[in-house]
Amino acid sequence: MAEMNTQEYWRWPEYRHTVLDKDWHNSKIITAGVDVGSVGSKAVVMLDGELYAYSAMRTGGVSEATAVKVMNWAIEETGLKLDDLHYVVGTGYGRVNVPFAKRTITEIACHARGAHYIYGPTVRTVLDIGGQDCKAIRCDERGKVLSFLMNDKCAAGTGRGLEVFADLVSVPIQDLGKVSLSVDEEPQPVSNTCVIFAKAESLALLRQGWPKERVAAAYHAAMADRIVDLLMRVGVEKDFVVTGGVAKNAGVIERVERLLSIKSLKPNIDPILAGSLGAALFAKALYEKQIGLR
Amino acid sequence: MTANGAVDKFRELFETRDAIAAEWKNRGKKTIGCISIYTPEEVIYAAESLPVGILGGTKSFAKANVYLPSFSCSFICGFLEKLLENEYRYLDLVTLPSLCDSIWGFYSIWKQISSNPEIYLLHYPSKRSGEAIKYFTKEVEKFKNFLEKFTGKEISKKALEIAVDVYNENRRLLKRLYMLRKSESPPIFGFEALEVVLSSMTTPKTLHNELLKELLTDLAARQEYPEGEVRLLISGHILDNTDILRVVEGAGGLVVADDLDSGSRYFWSLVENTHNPIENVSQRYLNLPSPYGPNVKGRIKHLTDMIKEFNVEGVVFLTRRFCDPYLFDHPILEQVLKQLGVPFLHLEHAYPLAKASLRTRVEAFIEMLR
Repeated sequence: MAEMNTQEYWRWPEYRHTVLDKDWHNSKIITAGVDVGSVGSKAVVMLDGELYAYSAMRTGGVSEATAVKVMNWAIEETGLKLDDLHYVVGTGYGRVNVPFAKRTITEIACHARGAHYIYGPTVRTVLDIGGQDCKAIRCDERGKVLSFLMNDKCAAGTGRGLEVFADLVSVPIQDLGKVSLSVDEEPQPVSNTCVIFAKAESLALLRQGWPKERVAAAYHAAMADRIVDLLMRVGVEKDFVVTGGVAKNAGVIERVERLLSIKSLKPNIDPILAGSLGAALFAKALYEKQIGLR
Repeated sequence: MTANGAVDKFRELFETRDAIAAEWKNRGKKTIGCISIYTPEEVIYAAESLPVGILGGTKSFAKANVYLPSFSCSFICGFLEKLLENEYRYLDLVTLPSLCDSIWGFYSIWKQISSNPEIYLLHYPSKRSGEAIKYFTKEVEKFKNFLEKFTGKEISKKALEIAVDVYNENRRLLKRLYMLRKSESPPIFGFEALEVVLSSMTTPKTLHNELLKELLTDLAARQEYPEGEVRLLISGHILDNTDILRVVEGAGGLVVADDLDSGSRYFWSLVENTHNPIENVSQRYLNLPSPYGPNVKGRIKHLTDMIKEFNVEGVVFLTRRFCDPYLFDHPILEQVLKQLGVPFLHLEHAYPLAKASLRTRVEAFIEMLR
């Protein structure tokens, strides 16, 4: 008997982690950042400005509920309670829906600040590719935003578009970038810039008998084109880094690097956390100000 | 962000503009829809008619989209939708300046599909030379002759002189209001100033003048001032409503100046004299700093003067999607601001507004300027 294939290729793994050699009882300032994105939500706990615990999960239908869930999951094995957090900053698309946050700061400022923490003070251009939009940010040596551009016309160049595409070609989303790079010769990018039409066009290519690797290459190439268009308008200066979920897709990043003739720095910390890290760092500064340390 | 009440009257005038125009019409007089800033309203006033600033829409354009191609701007789409929805049934005439493709297209389509209201196209030259002024003066003269026939009222030189006085007074009063915003604590929010200017475009001018005088007195006695973290200037087209400015000022910005069709550019310059009113009026309109002329110099000067005089910390450019005159100006204006070292944010938008992403960009811009 044949079985229906019910694998959800679009679904990326949710995860949490605690830095085991740290003990929050010995720290002075415990802050957190919660980044409620359109597709994924992330929470980070920092002890005196150092990464301690984090979690990442899918954003549900109710942003408030997701914010609570992702935060509780981050502190699950630490013995921390919500009340132990000195200051929490909310960011992301659902930043106003973080009930326990004292303040909200936009994901643009937070990604620049988070990128500064992950990659260091030499970062000048941050590309954040999230679930539903894409931002090109210029910043200074302190991680402060100097200028930025945000695409807002369509989700085709973003994580959500990749999810739709993963399902179409039946390739798990984590493998998609690698698969797209396995072609011998780069095909023409798919021409449509809308996520729905790009999917329809990719489907047409599959029907014409294109192997899925080649269709994936065409789709990723189109994404890279759109992203580079945004980056060129804001201007790219070294060091160049990528944050957000799509930073993990080599098929997009390598093509962007090729088009720009510039390499991006490789992270030691999961770049999906950049927004929540930035929020937790802002939380620390705000708490220090509150208690008169600054 | 709380409004102070002083401009409530102007908000009410703007919100009841349809009723005001309908009442005018009921008194047996003509109402004439126009794009206020680029229409010599003095001529309409002199014909004892009411110029009513037309606006685009903010909803869907299902009826208009049957006629207009997808690259038409939301102003024209919205206006056509309102006409087709019969929301402008009080208009006797619409007069439009021949300034962009969307207007031209709309004009020829409306001519084909309806004569109610009638439509008149005022031809603008593309140059600003002496010849161009002669040409435009003739066009305004033709418009005057047309209006005389249309309304059955003779437009005398005396009536034109009075019209210029009334309009110049409105301009002076609006400018006095704007000057108060140069202060470190401006007495009104930007969205309130916009309500004052928008209402000027739809209210009988003599009434507007009286209310402006009261407002200036009231504001002088004000105790509480609006608060904002950064002083901003808004640059762009006609705003149909205060939505975007409310987002900007709700996020901590304080709009202290503008370079808008429905703002300073509407009233900044006067008709200098009235020895030949038609010619003097024509000259004033042709020389407005706008994106429609042969070059962007006039607009650069107006914009940069405003930035300096009003101590502006950041500029927000608003462009409608598919509004080619503004979008073509935009890269040049960006370069000018980069050279001046003035930070800016460009919001290209369509209706219905995508408020969440609009708010994110505005908040991030204000965080950047803090």
